[in-house]
Amino acid sequence: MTSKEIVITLEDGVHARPAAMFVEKASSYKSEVSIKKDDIVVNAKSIMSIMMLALTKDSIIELIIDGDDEDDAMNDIASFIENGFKPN
Amino acid sequence: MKMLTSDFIFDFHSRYKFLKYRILTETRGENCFIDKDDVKESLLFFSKHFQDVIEGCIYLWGPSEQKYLNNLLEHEDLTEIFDYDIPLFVFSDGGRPSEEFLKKCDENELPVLSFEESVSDLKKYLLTFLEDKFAPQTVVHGDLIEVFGIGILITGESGIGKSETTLELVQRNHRFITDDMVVIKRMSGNFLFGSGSKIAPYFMEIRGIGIIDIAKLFGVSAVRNKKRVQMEIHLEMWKQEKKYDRIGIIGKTTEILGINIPYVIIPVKPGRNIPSIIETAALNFRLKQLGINSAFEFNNKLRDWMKKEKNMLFL
Repeated sequence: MTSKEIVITLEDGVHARPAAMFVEKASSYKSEVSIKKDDIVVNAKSIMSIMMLALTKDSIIELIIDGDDEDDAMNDIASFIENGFKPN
Repeated sequence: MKMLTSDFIFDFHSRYKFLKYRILTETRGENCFIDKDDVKESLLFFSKHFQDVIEGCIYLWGPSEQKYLNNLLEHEDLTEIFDYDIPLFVFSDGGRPSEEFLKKCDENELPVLSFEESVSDLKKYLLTFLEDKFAPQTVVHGDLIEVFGIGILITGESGIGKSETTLELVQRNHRFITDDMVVIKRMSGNFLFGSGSKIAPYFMEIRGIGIIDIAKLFGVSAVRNKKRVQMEIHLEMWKQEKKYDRIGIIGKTTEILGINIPYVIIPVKPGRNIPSIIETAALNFRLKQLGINSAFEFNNKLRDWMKKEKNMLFL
């Protein structure tokens, strides 16, 4: 299991479109991906859960990944969030 | 769990808008925290021993205590009260202490609220509110739906068809509570209550369609905002080697926040109509509540038959 604290840099916060892109990215890995914010942990492969966290700019989240491909997933997903949810 | 007093005042007012109140002090409690879900009567301040003063909890002043306080203040200053870490004083029946006392409260950053309600009513409101705020809670990835009056939590891995199953159940006139994320709280009396998001309730994501609004599509009778979680149904891919419950005499349970609820694993496979299986599970649960266990009854019938002398089979 690996985890990392990341700050959301997205100006408008994580609304529908970035959330959809994020879920797509998380779902491409076999590992279990979750996001923790204020003691609430949600499944990062579920778009509704991500949006319900109402992640605004500068909010700090903890990305938790557990599974066989966790290291690849962490590198990829973390840089995706840090780069402002831009598809690479 | 800690709660800023100023947040408490704001939230309590938004929950109970009909309660009229005034803040008697300048301070709004921006620096003090409530960390107990209890409301204490302030009588013990007069005991002079100041034993058992519980810090971090709200103190309530009823009419008789207020009267006693005002009498007492004429003779002595009760500065000892402020030695304790008390986050909030609440006066009932529209009462207010002397200006001098309020000044001292302000100096010690202790906010004082005055409500028009009677002390017993006020205590009920405060306790209900605090219980809800301080209840242990967890977030579960799953759906919550009321089927024939039974609150059923549907769990399972992503893509197994939880939302689709829930949608089908909604179409069969069952009530939807939340999709994808269930906030479960343990309330007093050892009940589990599940609810959805406060930001945007009654939305659901269906792969291929996108986000849909259950309350608007199916009407208000198809939704409810919270429901007791009475049973968990776990959907999983049918595994050839796994043994599934075939009889159902020994019920499995699962633990959520320290409370055990019945747990049913339903294997998903083409040709199995999951919504109708869930409906049946809910009905069977109700039957068990009425004291009828179908598996037991069947077994008893079988044993009775085997006890008979001429147990010829008439097929």
